[in-house]
Amino acid sequence: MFLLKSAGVLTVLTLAVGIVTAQDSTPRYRTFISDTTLPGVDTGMRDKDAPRPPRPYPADVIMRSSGEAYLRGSIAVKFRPGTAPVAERQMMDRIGATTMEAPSYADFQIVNIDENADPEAAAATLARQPDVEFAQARYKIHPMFVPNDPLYSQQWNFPQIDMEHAWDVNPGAASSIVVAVLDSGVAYRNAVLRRDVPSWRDFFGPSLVTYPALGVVDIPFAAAPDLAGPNRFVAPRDFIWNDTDPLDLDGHGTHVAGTIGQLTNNGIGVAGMAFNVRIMPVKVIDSMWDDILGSPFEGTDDVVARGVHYAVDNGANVLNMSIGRSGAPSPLLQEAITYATSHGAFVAIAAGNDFERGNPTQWPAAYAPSIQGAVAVGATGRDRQRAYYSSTGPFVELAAPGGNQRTGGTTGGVVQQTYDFAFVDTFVNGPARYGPPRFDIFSYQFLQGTSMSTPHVAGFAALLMQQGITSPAAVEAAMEQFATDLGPTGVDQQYGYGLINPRASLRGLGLAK
Amino acid sequence: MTRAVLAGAVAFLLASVVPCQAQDRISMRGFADAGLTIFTATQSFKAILGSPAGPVFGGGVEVGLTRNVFVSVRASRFRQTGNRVFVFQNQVFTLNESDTITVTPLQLSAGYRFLGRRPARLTRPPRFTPYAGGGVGWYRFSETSAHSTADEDEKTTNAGYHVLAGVEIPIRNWMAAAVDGRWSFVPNAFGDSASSVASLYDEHNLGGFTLSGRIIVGR
Repeated sequence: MFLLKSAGVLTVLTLAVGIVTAQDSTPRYRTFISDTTLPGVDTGMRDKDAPRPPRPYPADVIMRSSGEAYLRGSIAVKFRPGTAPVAERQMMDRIGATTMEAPSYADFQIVNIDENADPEAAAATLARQPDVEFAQARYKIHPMFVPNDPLYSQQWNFPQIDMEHAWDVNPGAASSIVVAVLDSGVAYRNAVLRRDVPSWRDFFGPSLVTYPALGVVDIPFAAAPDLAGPNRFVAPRDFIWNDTDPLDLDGHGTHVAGTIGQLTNNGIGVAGMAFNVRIMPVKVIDSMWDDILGSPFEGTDDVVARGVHYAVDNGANVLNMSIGRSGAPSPLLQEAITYATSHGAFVAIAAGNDFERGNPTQWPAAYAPSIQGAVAVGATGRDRQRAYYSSTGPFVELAAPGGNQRTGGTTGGVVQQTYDFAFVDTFVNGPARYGPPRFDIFSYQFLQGTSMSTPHVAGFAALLMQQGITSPAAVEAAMEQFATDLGPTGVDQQYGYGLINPRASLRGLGLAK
Repeated sequence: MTRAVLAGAVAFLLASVVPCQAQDRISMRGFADAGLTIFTATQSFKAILGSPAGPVFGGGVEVGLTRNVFVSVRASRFRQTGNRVFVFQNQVFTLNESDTITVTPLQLSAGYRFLGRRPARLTRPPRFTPYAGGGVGWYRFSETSAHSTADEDEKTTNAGYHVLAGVEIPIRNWMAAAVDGRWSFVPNAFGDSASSVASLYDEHNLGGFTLSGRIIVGR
């Protein structure tokens, strides 16, 4: 049905605008030469590591674009139903649009405009038209974690929310629950990618330097040993490379997925919140290596919105969005999240890490209070206090452990298995020590951020759904009703309703107590 | 197991009663009953147990003080297992967490038996004997769920009162049957716990209406 509808739209747009390119019709942008490699190598706990500098992300570094918070050359538009193709074309002419694309898993269009045009101004012009539901620039989304200061070594986050007793009530949900991780991908399978790695310029170091081309290299991937299991992953999808191989070229998504569903009681490593669920890796964020390797798409609002639609359409019960940005609002994301909750999926969204950077409003987190079944999640440290970075505002609805390495040291972060960053971030020590990455060597890393707190809530939602609360709005209500009030009495802008209390929510109401 | 113990106790009570020869002196009879209780906290019981009503079993001793006036002691027990719930916008979500409710009332009653004026020459007892009365009671309530800790379990005893009415039908000289209805009122039995569905529904009365059939042994 959806395909037929898309085809219909495609035909109309072809007549109206001229050249139309559906992103799904684009060729594959990369080739994996093998699906088998040696198992992943585990280099162990990294609690004694020296503090690492913040890891760069394309949205911060701006490797391949202008340094602005959005992509140039295109905007996202949704016309009201029934708008005539002629009217659409007239509106397009008004902003000098050249072509229009109808991407998959989207009910909006990508309108291509002149590279030198201001996308925000073009979007504003279109948004004023009566036949336009919304129009916006393609803002870049980035992961929500604040990398490392020195720490200690223990998984304090689960005791803080009494998970040991919560697991008594519901031991890790069940495989019938699917949690989509909309992130940088997940280390979910073994593969070898053969790629010609070009040279590139460093915009984030103290001086602009050029990194040499590496030539054709084989880049190994392995499934995270403490995350992967039989039938663990479902319907993987990559919107950055436009294929079905959402392999993590960063480590963020793998860490997040671990907090949601790390295998537990398996004698390996650490635990996860809902360790029996199935994980749907949906890659909507590009990392440094995605950019270096030339991924065709970047993690913009429209890409994330498509990822949300995809996850919902493919049966996800819970969506984890440890991603976000500040800046202009995004009706695209608002509509996508509303679509998710109205189709039975709960959405956990990072509240943001910008408290000390002026504490701007975060998107899409700021939409959460107005959407029943979507929750914006702040972060606490080991001391149960709001982490220094955790954004505050009326949109914060719940708090969960996200780590605070400023007060807690290295182990004040949230530990999960992900890549050994020494083999991933080969670019951080300059061109002389630069080399191809390896995505098959794992370690237990302490990270902090609302990226880390959000998967606690996503895993919690999975437990609640398996426990019997099937409506996303009711899941949110159950979380909020039983939250442990922190900070000023009642709902506040630091913790929202308070710190999540999974055991109490999972037990629900008795007759008298 | 508990029911078996209760049944044994009732049987012992019935066997130990002293049959009375006439109604002009103190008599004692034993009884056992089984019936259905519909709780006043309708929404709360329905949410947890799936129904506001459930079977109740009891027994006791009745002492005839005069030909018409009697007092009785009755113990009964209601026990059902359902599930804990979450309620959102009037929709009840049943959780995978079993919850067992036990209500054990101990009721002291006094009543009046409407025998009418019996001619001295008639030796057969009347066909039907209506009765009515009332009394006080202590209602032990306990609630436990699959993974609750001792602190999370609820065990309270609440005072209440009741009114009753029924009709007794003789079967043998030493045995009778009765249909007994009683309304009990146990106010403020459920508090304002944040995890109480009764609090959510603003239902605080543990009482209800019990309709039971009764077998009475003794004369």
